[in-house]
Amino acid sequence: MKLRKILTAIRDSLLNIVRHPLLTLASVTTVTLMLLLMGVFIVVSLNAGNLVKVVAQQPPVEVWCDATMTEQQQEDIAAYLAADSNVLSFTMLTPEENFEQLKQSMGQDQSALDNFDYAKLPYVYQVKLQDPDLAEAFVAQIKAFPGVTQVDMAESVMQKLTKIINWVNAGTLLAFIILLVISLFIIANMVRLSVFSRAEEINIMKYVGATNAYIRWPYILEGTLIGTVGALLSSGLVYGIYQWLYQRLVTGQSSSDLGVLAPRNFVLPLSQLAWIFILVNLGLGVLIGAAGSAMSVRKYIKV
Amino acid sequence: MIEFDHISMAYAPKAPLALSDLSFRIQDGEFVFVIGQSGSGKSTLVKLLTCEEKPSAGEVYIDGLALTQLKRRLVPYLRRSIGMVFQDFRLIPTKTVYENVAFAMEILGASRRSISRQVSMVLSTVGLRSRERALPNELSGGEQQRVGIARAMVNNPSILLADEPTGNLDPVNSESIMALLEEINRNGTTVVVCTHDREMVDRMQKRVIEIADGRLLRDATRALYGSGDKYLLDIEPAAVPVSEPAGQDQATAQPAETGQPPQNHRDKLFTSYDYYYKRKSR
Repeated sequence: MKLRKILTAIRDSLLNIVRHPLLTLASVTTVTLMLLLMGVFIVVSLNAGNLVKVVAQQPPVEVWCDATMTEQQQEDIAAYLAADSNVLSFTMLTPEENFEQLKQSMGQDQSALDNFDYAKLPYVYQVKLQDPDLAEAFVAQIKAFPGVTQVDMAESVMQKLTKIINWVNAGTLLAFIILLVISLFIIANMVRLSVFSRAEEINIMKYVGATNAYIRWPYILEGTLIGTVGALLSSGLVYGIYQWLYQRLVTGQSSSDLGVLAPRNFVLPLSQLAWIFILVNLGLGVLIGAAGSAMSVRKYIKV
Repeated sequence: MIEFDHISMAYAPKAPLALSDLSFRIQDGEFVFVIGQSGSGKSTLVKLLTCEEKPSAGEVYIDGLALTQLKRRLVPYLRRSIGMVFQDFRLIPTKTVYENVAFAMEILGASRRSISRQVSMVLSTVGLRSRERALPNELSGGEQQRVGIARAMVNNPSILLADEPTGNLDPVNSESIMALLEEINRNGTTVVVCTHDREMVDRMQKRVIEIADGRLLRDATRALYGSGDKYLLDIEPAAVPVSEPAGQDQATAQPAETGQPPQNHRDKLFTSYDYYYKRKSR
C-alpha cells in the first residue's frame, strides 16, 4: 500500500470518529465497560490465586528425625532445605522445644509429663512449601536423608488446595473467553451500526473501483483507536479503584484477627498487577476493536 | 469493445431467466441506448458489466477480457475502467461536490496535485466549477447528476455506463445531461445508456438495443424508442451490429472478427494487476 493511501486511511478513520461523535462515544463507553469488567475480573482472579497459594503454604510439612541424629546430619538437612527453591521457609524444633509445645498443649494435665524424658522426642523440621503441587516430590527426597524417620504432610489438604487452584485457573480462563466473545460481539454490533449508516458510501466506493482493503482499513483503524481509548480508560478506572480498596483494606488496617485470611497477607500490591491488567486490556481493546470492525465491514463490502 | 456472447442469467438456480441467450457487440466509441420495460433485464445487463453478478451461461467480454474468469480481487480494477452513472445520483451527502469527485481518484492513490487538476477540469466540463464547495443537497437534481457524471469521468474510463440517468430529472435537465453524455462520447468514450425515456431516445436517434423478457428484441442503428417496425428508421440483424465508432479504425478491432481474443493477450490481462493502470495511461 502506498504511503498516500495509508495517510488517506488514517485521515478517513479520524473523520469517521469526528463525524459520528455519538456513535464513537457509545463505542468507547461499551469497550470501557467491558474492559473494566475484564480488568476487575483479572484483578480478583489474581488475588484469589494468591490467597489459595498463601493458604497452601500454611500447613507445613513436618519432617521428623531420629532423636539421636548427629549434628552433621542436621546440617545436611538444613543445607538441603535452604537450597531447595520450593522451600519457602523452615524452622527446626529441638526435642526440648517439642516437649514444651507438648506440655502446653496438655493444659492442666501437663503435670503428667513431669517425669517424661524429652530426649526421646524427635527433632522436627517445619517446612513451608512454595508450591503444594511439588509436595510429594519434596517428601520423597527428604525421606532419603539419613536420620529422617517420618514425614508428616496434610496430604488431603494439599490435594484439595491443588484442586482449588486448578479450578480457579480453569474458571479464570472460561470467564475470560466468555467476556472476550461478548465484547467482540458488542463491538461488532456498534461498528455494524456505524457501517450501516455508511453502507451507501461503501456501495458507491465499490462502484468507483475501491478495493476491499481500501474500504476496510479506515474502519479497522477506527475500531483500533476506539479499543485503545477504551482500554486506557478502563485501565485507569481499575487502577484507581484498586488503589482505593488496597489502602482501605491493607494499609489502613491496624490489627486483625483473621489470621492468614487478613487482606494484608494475600492482597497483591498494585505494583505487582498493574502492568498485567493494563497490558491485557490494551491487547484486548485493540483486538476486539480491530476484529469487530473487520467482521462488520465484511458484510457490506460484497458488491 | 463490449461483447455479450450468448448470455443467459438466472438469479437463482430455479428462478426464471433474467437474460436469455443475449448476444451483441458494442464497438469502442459507440453511443448505445439499452431500452426495455422495467424487469426486462436492463439492470441485470449493467450488473454483468460491473461484475456484480456472473452469467449462468455465456461470456461477457470487455476489451477481450472474459469477465467470468476475472478473479474477484481484480474486479475493482475493472470497475475503474467503467464510469457508472446512476438514476439516484449516489453522491455522498457529507462530502462536497469537489470531494465527491475527488474521492474516486483518491481510491487510485492519485497525488493531491493531480486530483486537484483533474477534478477542476471535469467540474468545468460539466459546468459546476463554481459550485465545488456546495454539498449535494444544495444542488438541483440536474446539477447532482452532473456531479455524478463528473465522478464517473474523472478517471478517464473507456466506458461510461449510465443506468436511467434522466429517470429523476425534468425534460430540460434531461436534455442537458444527454448533451453532456453525447459530448463525452464525441471524445471517444463508449457510452451505454439504459433508459425508458422515450422522448430522449427518439430525439437522439442512436443505436438502440431493445430487451424484452431478457431476450434481444431488436438491435438497430439510428432507431426510435417505439415498439413495431413503423418506428424504426432502419433495422440491423443483431449478429452484425452496425457501429458508429468515433475515430475507430475497424482493422484494429481484431477480436471482433474471431470472437475470441488471442490467448496470450488475455493471459496477460489476467495476470497483471497493472493492466488497468497501463491502459488508462495509454
